[in-house]
Amino acid sequence: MTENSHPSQRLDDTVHQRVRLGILAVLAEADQADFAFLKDSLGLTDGNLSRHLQVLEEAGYVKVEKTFVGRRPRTWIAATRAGRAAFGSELAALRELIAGVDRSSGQNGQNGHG
Amino acid sequence: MTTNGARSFPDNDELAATLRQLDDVRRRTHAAIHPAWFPMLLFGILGLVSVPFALVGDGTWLGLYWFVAGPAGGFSTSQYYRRRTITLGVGVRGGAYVVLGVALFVAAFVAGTVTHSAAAPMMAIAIAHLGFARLERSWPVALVSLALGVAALVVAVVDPSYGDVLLSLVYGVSFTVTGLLLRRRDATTHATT
Repeated sequence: MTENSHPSQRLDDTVHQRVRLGILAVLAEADQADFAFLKDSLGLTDGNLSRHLQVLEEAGYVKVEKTFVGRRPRTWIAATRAGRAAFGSELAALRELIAGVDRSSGQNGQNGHG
Repeated sequence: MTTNGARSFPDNDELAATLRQLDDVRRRTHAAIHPAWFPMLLFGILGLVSVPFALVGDGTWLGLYWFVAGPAGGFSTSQYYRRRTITLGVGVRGGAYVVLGVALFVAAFVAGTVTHSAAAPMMAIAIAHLGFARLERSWPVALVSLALGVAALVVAVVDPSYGDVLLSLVYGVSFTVTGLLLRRRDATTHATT
């Protein structure tokens, strides 16, 4: 995929999904977040979050680590370098798409009034 | 935006709404993991407690005070951030903060030893807190750091009597007030999210 391709061609199918974008948005700010924080922040069920984390983990975009705090198990999730890069590219492509649509709307408006 | 992973061409309003939601998620996450109020309030109080040490002698007592209080404050802050990460389930690794804290300690100690006044160490503190403001993305911290830097510069140039006391007061009061205001905002944010 080249830099000059249409922004929609640069959208990553793994990342371009509302829940997975939300997960990566949290992990772009935080070095690590636990399962419960992600679930509460994004308003998800356990099963839904697990499914999307599995997709991201298989793509190499997040790593999952299970630890214990006292006797309580905690699952910590962190974005990998590839995950952060993919999220950054996705945001850039989305912004380009919006800017492109705004530009073409403006031109259509001018043509319509001219 | 799709919910099953398949791509469809989204319309502009949907894209804009998605970006807004992502910005909101990032903003809330950032607010949760950057409780700048704690170090601001702690070091503000330490600054106020330092005033009596600035009143006595040639700055040696003030230097000794900060030699102990500085690392103690840094350690308390790291423990607070660590505990908050475990409690909330989200946080940052503190590498950049540790580097900043050590650099501040060394710079302030060297500046104080060389100049025997509070103005140069206070300038180092102001610059380090600008770095802290950058990490926290906090404009109130940046503003109060700039104000402290200006105050240190004025004291260095004018050299008033009791300049060390004046700077310790400015540092203590401005950081304590900023810490209290940020704490209030932090409590409000977490009450509404």
